[in-house]
Amino acid sequence: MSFSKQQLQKFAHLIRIEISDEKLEKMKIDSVIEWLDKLQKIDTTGVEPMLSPVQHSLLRRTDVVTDKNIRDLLLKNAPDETGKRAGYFAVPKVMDE
Amino acid sequence: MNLTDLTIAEALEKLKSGEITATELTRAYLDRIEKFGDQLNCYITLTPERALADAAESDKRYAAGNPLPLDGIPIGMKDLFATRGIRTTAASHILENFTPEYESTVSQKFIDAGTVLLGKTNLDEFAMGTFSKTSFFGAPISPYQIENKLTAGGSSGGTTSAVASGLAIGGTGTDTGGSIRFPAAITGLVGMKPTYGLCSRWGCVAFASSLDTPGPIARTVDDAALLLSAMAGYDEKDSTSANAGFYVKDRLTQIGLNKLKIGVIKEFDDVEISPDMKKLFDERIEDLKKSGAEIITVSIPNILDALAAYYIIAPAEASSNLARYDGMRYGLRVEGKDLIDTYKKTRAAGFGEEVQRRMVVGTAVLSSESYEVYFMQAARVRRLIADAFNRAFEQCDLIVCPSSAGTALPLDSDLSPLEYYALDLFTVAMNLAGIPACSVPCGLAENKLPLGMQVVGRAFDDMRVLQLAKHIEEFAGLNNKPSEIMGK
Amino acid sequence: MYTIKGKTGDWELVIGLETHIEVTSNSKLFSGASADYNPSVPANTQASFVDAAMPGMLPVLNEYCVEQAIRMGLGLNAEISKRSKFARKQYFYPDLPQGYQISQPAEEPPIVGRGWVEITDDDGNPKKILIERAHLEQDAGKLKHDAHPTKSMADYNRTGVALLEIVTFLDTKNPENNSYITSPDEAEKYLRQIREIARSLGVSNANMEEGSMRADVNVSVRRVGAAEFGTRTETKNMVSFKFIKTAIEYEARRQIEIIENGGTVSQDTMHYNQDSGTTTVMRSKEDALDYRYFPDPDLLPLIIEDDLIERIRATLPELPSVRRARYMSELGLSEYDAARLTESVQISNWFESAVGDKLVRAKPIANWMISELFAHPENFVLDESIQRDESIRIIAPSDLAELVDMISENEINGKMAKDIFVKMLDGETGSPKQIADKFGLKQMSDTGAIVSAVDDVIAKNASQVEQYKSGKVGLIGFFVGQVMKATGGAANPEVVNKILKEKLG
Ligand SMILES: [Mg+2]
Ligand SMILES: [Zn+2]
Repeated sequence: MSFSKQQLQKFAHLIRIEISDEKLEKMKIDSVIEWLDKLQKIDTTGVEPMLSPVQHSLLRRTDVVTDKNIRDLLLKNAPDETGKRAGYFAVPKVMDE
Repeated sequence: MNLTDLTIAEALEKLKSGEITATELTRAYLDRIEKFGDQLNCYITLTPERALADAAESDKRYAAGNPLPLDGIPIGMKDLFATRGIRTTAASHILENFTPEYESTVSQKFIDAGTVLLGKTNLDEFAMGTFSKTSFFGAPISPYQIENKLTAGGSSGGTTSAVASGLAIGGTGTDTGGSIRFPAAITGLVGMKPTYGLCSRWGCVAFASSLDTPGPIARTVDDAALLLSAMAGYDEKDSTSANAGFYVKDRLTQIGLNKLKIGVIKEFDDVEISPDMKKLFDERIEDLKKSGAEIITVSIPNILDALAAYYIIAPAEASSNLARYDGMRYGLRVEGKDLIDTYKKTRAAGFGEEVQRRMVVGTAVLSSESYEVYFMQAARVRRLIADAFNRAFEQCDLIVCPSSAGTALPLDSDLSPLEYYALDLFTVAMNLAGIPACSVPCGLAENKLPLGMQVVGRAFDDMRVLQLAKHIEEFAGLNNKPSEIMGK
Repeated sequence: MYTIKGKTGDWELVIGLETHIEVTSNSKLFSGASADYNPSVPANTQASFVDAAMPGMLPVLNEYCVEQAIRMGLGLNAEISKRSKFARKQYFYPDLPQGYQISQPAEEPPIVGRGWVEITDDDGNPKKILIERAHLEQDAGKLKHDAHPTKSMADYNRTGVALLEIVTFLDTKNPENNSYITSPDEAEKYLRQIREIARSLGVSNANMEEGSMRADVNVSVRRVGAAEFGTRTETKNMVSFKFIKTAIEYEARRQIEIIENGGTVSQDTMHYNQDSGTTTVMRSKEDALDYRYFPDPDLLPLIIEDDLIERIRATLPELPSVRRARYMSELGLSEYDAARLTESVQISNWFESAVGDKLVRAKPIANWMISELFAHPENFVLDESIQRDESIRIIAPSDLAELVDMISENEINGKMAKDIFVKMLDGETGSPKQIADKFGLKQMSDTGAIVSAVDDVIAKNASQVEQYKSGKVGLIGFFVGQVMKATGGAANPEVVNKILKEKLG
């Protein structure tokens, strides 16, 4: 499969990274993806995809509150001081709501 | 006596006998870091005060006669493990000033074992790389032939640089596609990638969740086993953690080689490797045979496709795992004209090129048009490889193979992305299968640089992997004393 | 059937609902922070490192949330999947710290599979609404927009609270089957039914005003009798029954107009404007986000053991639908009455406590509750936790039981009962019997006194007697009225009637 410049830009947009077309070209993403195509010729009919090496099923936690009132610790690394003082994570104004 | 030449096992004996104190040992390391640290660039953050405080506590426990298993052992912690109150960067600009308020399970286990923390070691940014030169803080280098500025490997290159040079007695790494074994191999060290799930991932900055495996890096197999004993164990905070442990008291017990069935992978015969690697590998095979081991050929039909499967699965998981670095709650924020612009500028500035490349690839293979074609196909190939290993282990007890094609390359080698990726050729399959693999030195090449080979076992057979690795270590007889590699 | 008249003919509606209910639990779906979300809790005091998506943090599934999902699944008469998976739905938004929501996507089996709930359709007939699936997922955080001119403030207290998303089933392979919602009223009934099941099982408060119940509404239209379904639109995040009904109707009319004007409906995501009651395109199909769902590698397949399902089944309380059927078959209530009395567990409990073991009370008590008591919610206690004015006289189940018994034992008549009831509403204390005594409200059971009153009325109204005897039997009502008047309303109307008929021949 090969991807157009627009598609690659769409991917960059989906993961919110600003990349110029020149840089995107320099990154040789196409050559990487082209190389990945070699997997296509492997016959995997009927093969169950393996998503984790772990055999056991999902363990579950008991329903108890273990973490509370750690706001100061959560906010310690927050980049915006205004929000931090008010107990919030301040983010650029969200317009579309 | 050169304190920084001691192995962990030797140091523990001397600490127990009172011949040395933890403080003396720690100071010896801090002095040597002072001397060579800048040159090697193996630490991102040094923690000398913490180290001396840890050592003082350790000495108290020795004096009271109740030392902990690794009491007073000065280690380096890959800067991917969150350490409470100590900056944890993942070698990324985006986390350059991040100080977690929690302690990763692995680093906590080392605290509980009584170790001394020297600092946080350098690595490839978010553990993505093979030379550690994607680090925002510059690459660490190998202490071997230091004037040639050779790579210490990656992504755990800070730890291998530190341990090989005597700037830490041992340390931690993480291995997603070979990030412990490859750097260990080219720096004459032992690097163990345990069974997936044996060591908790909680508090370890995620690269690719289904592949990431914390493990030890040390100068000897016994030391690696001691470190693994501290690291391993079930963790209820990690849903993929295994209900299994690993424990060695002082040294590994020997296993007899007689009648041990050891497999060599047929498909790797077709891979071009350096004559040195081939020669040393064959010599060690001969040693094993002479000791009574039975060498058989096994087939892992799709093992040469493992690399491509890996470079689909790992970037896919990474593109998702790294979404949290968005400048909103912690880490770098570059203000833009609106929310989306802030996200984009922050992440463009915060991540280096290789991380960006892998995230775009990861997004491409997960996109609606290619999810089945790439991601699910890779997951199926992954199953084929894991099943093939299982079948191979019906014929043999353990498998051996090279760790790399050749010796350490100069840091400034100009390789294409695909050429870098190809360096993982011998290591990624074990990550896909989740099985244990240990790289152990197999000798010196013509150019006097070390090479390593791997011992691979079935899941949770970590002990036997290390036991066989110990035999190979003895056959190879490599001298990796730091004082002889880069001087006193 | 509900239809909308267009320029070119009649149209029918096909409605699908994706209902999110917030699962009641102590802690969140994947973290140990409190799940007791409410807006009065100071921001970010109920968030953990996991909720804030700090580096290296990992999710661990809350077993109680799984049990809650199973409980709801059983309430929805659904299959419980023995094996289901969690996946990541990826997008960037400041209320989503991980950059993805952990959910169970449509392609994978969810924890709760096919099921159904029963409602009454617009013609009063019972109708099964099919459920496609219900799955567990994480709630998002909250953003405050008014605190700062250029910044929004993120609060992660709600981040990661468990949601159960219940999706109705539209059998596209069999468009003629009628097991889906086809009118705004049915949509409301369906949602009330979901709310009722969730509440009676203790799975969720399912309160739309508080945001613990939200719905995405899918609407499409087709000509009456058409074989194929039309293209649907989705209106997101609706939080009131009223808005949902207006949105459905508006959206249907909008689509009809488009089609009738020769256009085609595009599969867009709509936004509902509360003030104007209209919908507008929020995101067109072309801009549909690529969420890049993939199985969460931090979580393994969820395997549910049979004995857990059976253990939960054994503890299930009586469901509203079962209760409703029982009210009809055992107590002889009409479907309407049974439905009203099973609108909430509290109402059912109140009703059953008033009926007690005297099943004959059921019908009159149902009537009193539905026609009188429901009009005065302040006078009866359904929710103990609500504070109320102490001067208000609470009407207890025992009050209504006593009142109904007094009527059936001929101590009072209906008129008197109403008087007693009104006095209670006005704050009169004491039991209905005591009120009756205090105000002398007692039915005349002395036949002698009634006979003399009847004689008196017959004597005074000779011409009417004449007319009655010549065949105008309808005049009996007139005579009863006169006798009642003469006795000050105290006579037992039945007795009066009987004596009158004897005397008039
Ligand atoms: Mg929806
Ligand atoms: Zn949802």
